[in-house]
Amino acid sequence: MRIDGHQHYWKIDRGDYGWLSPEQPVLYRNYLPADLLPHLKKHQIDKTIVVQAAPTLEETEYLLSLSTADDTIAGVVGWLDLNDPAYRIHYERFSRHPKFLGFRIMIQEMADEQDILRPHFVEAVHYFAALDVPVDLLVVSRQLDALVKLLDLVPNLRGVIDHIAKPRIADGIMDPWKSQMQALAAHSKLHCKLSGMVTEADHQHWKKEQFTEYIQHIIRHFGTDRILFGSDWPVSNMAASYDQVMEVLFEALPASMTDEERGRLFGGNAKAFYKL
Amino acid sequence: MKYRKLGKTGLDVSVLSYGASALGSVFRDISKEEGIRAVHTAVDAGINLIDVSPFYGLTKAETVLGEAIRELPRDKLLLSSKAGRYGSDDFDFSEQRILSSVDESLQRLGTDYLDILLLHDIEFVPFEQVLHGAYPALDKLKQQGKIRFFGVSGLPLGLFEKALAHKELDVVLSYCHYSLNDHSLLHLLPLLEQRGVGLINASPLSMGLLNLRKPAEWHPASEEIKRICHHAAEYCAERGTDIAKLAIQYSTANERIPTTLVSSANPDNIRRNIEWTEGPIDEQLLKEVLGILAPIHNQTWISGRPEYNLASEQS
Repeated sequence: MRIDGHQHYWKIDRGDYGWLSPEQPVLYRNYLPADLLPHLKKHQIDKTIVVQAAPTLEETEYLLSLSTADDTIAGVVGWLDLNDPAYRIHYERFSRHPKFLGFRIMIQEMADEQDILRPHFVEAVHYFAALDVPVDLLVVSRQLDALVKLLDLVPNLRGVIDHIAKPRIADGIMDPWKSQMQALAAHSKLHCKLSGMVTEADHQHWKKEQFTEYIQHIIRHFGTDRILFGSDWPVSNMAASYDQVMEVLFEALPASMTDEERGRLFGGNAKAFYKL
Repeated sequence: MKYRKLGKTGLDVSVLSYGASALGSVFRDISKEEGIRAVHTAVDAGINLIDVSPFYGLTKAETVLGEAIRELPRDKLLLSSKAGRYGSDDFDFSEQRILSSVDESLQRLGTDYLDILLLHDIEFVPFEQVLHGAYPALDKLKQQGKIRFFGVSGLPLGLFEKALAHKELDVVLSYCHYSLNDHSLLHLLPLLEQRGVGLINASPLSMGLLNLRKPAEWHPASEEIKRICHHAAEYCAERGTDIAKLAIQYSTANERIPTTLVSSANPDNIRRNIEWTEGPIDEQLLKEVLGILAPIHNQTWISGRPEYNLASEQS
């Protein structure tokens, strides 16, 4: 089974997306399964992992209802606020839905990423590590120091770093992202999504070879069992078509990667990580 | 006696409340009369919340309590009973059984309503049974006016999160998690306060761990917990005081814990507990005892099914 390990759906008039505004003409419209289906068919992708795009419980419920009606949705990565004293009860409720896979921590949206190291937050992460729940980590590269510390405190977290932690591809800067990702890769349950890269480059003028070293660095350290392909569609549309997202990744994969390893990148690893 | 609000129920409960489980083990007439006097002593001193269960003494506690409160004004008492557990291994959380159980409790207690009904020790059954059986029964019982408020009880703190995720509960009863050796109940308070859930704390002596006498054979705590708690009790005795005094004072002092249940069928014990509640705590001794108990701080034991215990281990 081939899986797109990271994409979004939204319906603008639901009204809780916040970051989506009419100033982003490409994104400011509805994106629903019918819009993605042709791309999935073209690339023989059977299923997708839908990831939350709004910081609300209601949006997670909306995505879960969408997943019930659509066979291409393998499962939903929802949203939880670990600062809310009720986070465990929201998790308990979500977890009873057959297509709820886990949730995403939006470190990217935090005013101070050091907040993830506060005792109650670490305790919450410990809780989900003990339950072995898949947790997506949305982080930008300048916040990696805090994430490295969090994983040192909770080394057994079943986590996945979204979008290779958004390095500064447009500027061609790789440090200290390289060493931080290497340190994170030492945690054997931590995974990384090869996703969301085109939007970290210059949206109009990116070149395929700009991504190669970033992608290969991830594969070098996470290996071929802990990397997941994700399109980040439709956010990716700001910089590239679905076809181009695939090309960028194909181009950068080391020639030594076997078909079987590629199969894991495009499905097997997502299946194992999210316990599909 | 001081009173505190029991969450959104709006009830004012005495900081010390009476646990009628001890009435379940009175079998001779003389001890029954003593048990009844214990209840009267408690109520006369201002204790207004009494908690019982059909499980205690296999209905005996409810029967004796019913006799004890026969001449007391019902509207001055807050009666809490339970349903779903009827023996060490006898659980039934089906809708039908919960409904009939309350009718039987009302009959034994000689009243026509309970102020609080708690589903008793739900960690022993798959949550589906509670969700699809007992939960609908709670709403019916409330509509029928047979109960005013409802909730759940049990040991692992994780069960409360599970339970609250699927129903708005008025009250929860937790035991052995707010005493000198275990404060893990504090982790649950933000959630309960956010939801306005009334909290009843029980077993301030950790079911006999904090006692000069060795705890009962069946006590589920580890040998290390037993040994260190016993050492703390000896330490207090050597300084001329009873660890129970420190324990009762400690558990009732926290304003965020509305009420703490103590159980005894002995009127003198009840009187002593009430006096302790009203006296000042020995801060120096408290510090020393908490120091002795530090190595086993928040250590607990498994109760019921694993899915409920996972969460509490992390608290």
